[in-house]
Formats: sequence, C-alpha cells, structure tokens
Amino acid sequence: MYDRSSVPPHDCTLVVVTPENVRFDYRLAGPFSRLLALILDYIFVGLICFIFFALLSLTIGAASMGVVMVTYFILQWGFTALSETLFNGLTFGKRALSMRVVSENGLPINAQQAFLRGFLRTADLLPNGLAGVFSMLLSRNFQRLGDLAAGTVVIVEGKQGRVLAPPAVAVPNLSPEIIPLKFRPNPALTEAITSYMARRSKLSKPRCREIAWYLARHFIRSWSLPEMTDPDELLCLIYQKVVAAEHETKQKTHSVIIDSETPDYLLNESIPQAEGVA
Amino acid sequence: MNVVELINSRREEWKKLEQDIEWIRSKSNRSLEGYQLTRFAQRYRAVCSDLSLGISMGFPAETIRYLHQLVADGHAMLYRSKTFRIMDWGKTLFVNVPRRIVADPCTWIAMFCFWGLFVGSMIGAMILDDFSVNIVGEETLAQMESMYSEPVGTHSDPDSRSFMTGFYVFNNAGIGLRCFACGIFLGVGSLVILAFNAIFLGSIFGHMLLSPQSDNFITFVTAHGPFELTAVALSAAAGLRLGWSILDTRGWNRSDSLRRSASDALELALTATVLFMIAAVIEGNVSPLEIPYLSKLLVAILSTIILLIWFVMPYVFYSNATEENESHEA
Repeated sequence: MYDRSSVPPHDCTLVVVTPENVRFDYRLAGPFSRLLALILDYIFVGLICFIFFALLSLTIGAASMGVVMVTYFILQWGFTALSETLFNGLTFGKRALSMRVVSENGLPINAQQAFLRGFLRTADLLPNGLAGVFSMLLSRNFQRLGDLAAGTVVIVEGKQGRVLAPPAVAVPNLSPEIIPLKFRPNPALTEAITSYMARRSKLSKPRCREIAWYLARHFIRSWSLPEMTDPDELLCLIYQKVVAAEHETKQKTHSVIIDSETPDYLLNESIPQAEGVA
Repeated sequence: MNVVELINSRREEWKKLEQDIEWIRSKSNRSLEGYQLTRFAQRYRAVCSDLSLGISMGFPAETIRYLHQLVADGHAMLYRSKTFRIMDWGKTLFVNVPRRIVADPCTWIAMFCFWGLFVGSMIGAMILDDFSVNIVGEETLAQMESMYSEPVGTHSDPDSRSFMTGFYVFNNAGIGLRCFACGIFLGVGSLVILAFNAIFLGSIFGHMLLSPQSDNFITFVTAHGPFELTAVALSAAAGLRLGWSILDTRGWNRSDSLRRSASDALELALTATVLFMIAAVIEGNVSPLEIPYLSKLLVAILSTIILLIWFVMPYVFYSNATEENESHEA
C-alpha cells in the first residue's frame, strides 16, 4: 500500500518523530535565504548601534565611549544569540524571511545552543563565508559549523497549506453508471483526486483537461469509455460518486476519529485497493 | 465517513488549536491557566492522530502540509527546553569550570603552548637583535616605544579610562571569542591564534624590557597580566576542546561527540570572557594610575592567588560536600 513514511524525503526536509508517535516535516532553509537573513540582521544591528550611540554621545558625551565599546562588543557577539533565546529562535532577519532556528529534534533552542552557534558564526564566515557554505552543502540538513556544534537547524516557517475540502461539482454530461460498482479508490488515488479537485477552481478549463488526462486516461482505457470523454469531468464524477461518498468502507475510520488517541496500528489498517489504476 | 466530511468535522478543532498556540506563544510560562493548557494538550494529540489518519486516508496535499505545520507549531509549544538559569551559573563558574580546567589536557596543552612560546620569543628578542624587528615590525616597535616614553598616568583622566576599559573589553574579549570559534577547525585555528599572540606579545615584552622605556612598560603591564594571559590560554583551551572532540570521539560518532563537548567548551569560553572583562577593568582603571609600583605588584599577586584559589577550591570544598550528599542519600 502507498505510504508516505516508506519513502522518506531525500533532502530539504527535517523529519521529526514526536512522543505522540507522529512524524511531521519541517522545511529547511537553504544557504542563500539564510545569507539574506544574516545581511538583514547586520543592517538591523547597525541601525540599533547608530541610534543608541548617537543618543549616548548627545546625552553623556565623551565618558560614554567606554559604554559604547562594551555595548558594541555585546551586540557584535551576542545580538543574534540573545534574540534567538528571547524570541524562541527568531532574529530580525529570520522573522522578516519567516525562518526559525530549532533543535535537530524539533524542540525550541535553548540559550546554550543559541550562544554556541552565535559564537561559531565567526568561524563559519572565515574565508569569505566559505566554511559555512561548504558545511551547509555537505551536511544533511543545511547546517553550518555552528549548527553542527549546537545541534540546530534553520527551518522555514509560516502558514503552509490550507484546509481544503473541495467543493462538489455538477457533472451533467456523464452518467454515474460508467463507474463500475465495485470500484474503490486507494488512499493514493483519493489523495490525488482530492488534491486535484481542491486546486481545480484556480486553473483554466483547458489546463484542467491537460492535467486530468494523465489520471483519467487509465479509467478511460480500463472502463472502455469513449475516447472523447472529458478527463476533467470524469475526475469530477469519480470524486463526487466515489471519493466523497464512500460510506460503507470508511465506517471503521469513523469510529477512529472520535477516539483521537487511537494507537498507530489501527490507522494502518489496509484499505481496499483501486481496481482500475495500479 | 469520507475525506471531505472528516476535514469539515475537524476543521473547528484545528482552528482552536491554532488559537491555543497563539495564546501560549503570547504568554510567559507562569501565567498559563491549567484548564486551557490541558485543552491544548488534548487538541494537540488529536491533531497528531488527524495527521496520521490524513496521510493514510489520502487528505489533499495542501491539507497535509497545513497539518504538518500545525503539529510542528504545537510540538514547539508543548515541549520546551531549559534555558539559562541564573542559579546554575554560580555552580558552573565556581565548581564545574575550574574542575574541568584542571582535569582537561586541552588546558594544559594551551597553557604550555602559550607560556612556552611567550617565554621563548621573549628570550629570543632579548638575545637576538633582529628577532623582535622581524616578527613585530619596526613601526609597531617604534609605536610601542613612544607609547611608553612618558611615565604611566601622564594622560590619564576618567573619560579616557572609561574609553580604554571599553576598548579592552571589545578588543581582547573579541580576540578570545574568535580564538574559541576557530577551534572548530580541528583545534588548529585556536592554536594558530594562540601561537601568534604568544610570539607577538613575547617579542614585544623582550624588546621593551631592554629598551629605555622598560620601567614605564613594566609598571603598566604588571597589574592586569595574570587575568589577561590566563584568559588567552583558556580561550584557546576551549577551542581545542571543541576541535579535539571531532578527532577523539570517545566512542561516539563525530557529530555527537562534537555536540557533547561543545557545551563544556562554551562554558569555558564564557569564563574566559569574564576573565577578559576583569582584566580590562584592571587594565583600564588600575594600570594607568600614578601609584607606587609595589601596589600594582600587589594587585598582580592578589589576582594570581584568586585564580589559584578558583582552580583549587572545588577540589577542597565541593568534593567533600558531594561525598556528604551521597552518603546522605545512601
């Protein structure tokens, strides 16, 4: 049976398994967006320094130079680390580009990790930033040296995806009888069709036909439908009559949903295979 | 129940979980209410199983991605990690770090490396005429000589003292941290920076001791020497610990080994930074004063004694205390 967990993502994704025995993905941030975030951070720190120092020299005068130097030292070495500690893995630049630092196990980072990766940034930037870039390209999770030492990764955040329950579409031109009675879609087919239906309203009619044809041609062949059957409408029909209305087969899962603490093995129960598509 | 009905029936819960996460994110740990927290935990677990169910039932890809993000956000809120606790700092600074410093061969390597090269190049600069010129350069030496041509304290006023203190923090502690960071390259970076500083400082010392300005030089350098030079060596030791753990993994795989010793190394580097700051305060406020040389020497001796006590203290006091604790538990 098709199962996403049997084909783990090759890269660009951090897979985390929670104590609830659920695995979820983080999208990883690549070297170049991170470089951009770093530049934004530098600009931000520069602005802070400038304003702060200007205010100080106006109010205290020459005596403030010592304070200025110490502040500059703290900002230079500790700004990102402090900000990542206080705002749970965010700095100004990361916030602007919706990224976040997390531990490799998906947990929020602590101060120790934040300072470690902050200090080691110096080493990462050493020969014109090459050490960090090489480390990112060679490591599994786009980690620079500081990340490797601290056990952290930078992930892409923000709202991803939407809750999509595709609307039913009227299909006047096709009769429901063309679908064989014992046809049941497997989860992969269900996913493909629901995803298609959810996105269908954003596409033009010819594009819909073009995309739908890749799936629909298998049904057209195995159910011996006329060659001229509209692939888009055929998928709509299948969605409406089978995917969105399979009461008997999913009774078991219905009871599963209500008790939300069902262990994993119940969820992996085999679900009848599709006939037409293999 | 089909996919569509299922999504529609769960949608409300998902929205509520989003709100819970927002709510927790906006509050500090202490002001969270138990009831709402329980609801959050329940919802989170429900969404976890929704995600599993959704993958096996074939939810639309967009919805699966939404659920991944929701679980990830909830996970980050539910499982927090320990941050710095001020209470632990005392124990770290006065017990763990000095113990580790004494027990860790890296410290001794860094110490010997630094002092060996320092004394060696000092003697070299005193015996050979060209030594210091070749290493430091004529300009810098001339600059040093003119810096110490007048007795210490001639140009000292509170403003310049405050500036110099700040500058020493910025410059010296910055060098220390850079030295630590470069240790990630198998420790080589730390050793190079340490050796460079040792040879550079050593030849300046050797040159200045023989120059006519030696009195002024010694008067300035004595007071802050113990803290500063120890801090340099400790920074390098921290870097070495970091880099050496990649080579000598003690049975762990390399990244785990690095991670395990990284926290020790960080504590050591931060301790070195504290020492640098103490040294900067002395260098900025005591060294430039026009006081008898004896009192500056006293400061130096006192600093050395403090450092020695700091190294030895955990062995004298804390080991007894832990043994007592253990015997109580038994």
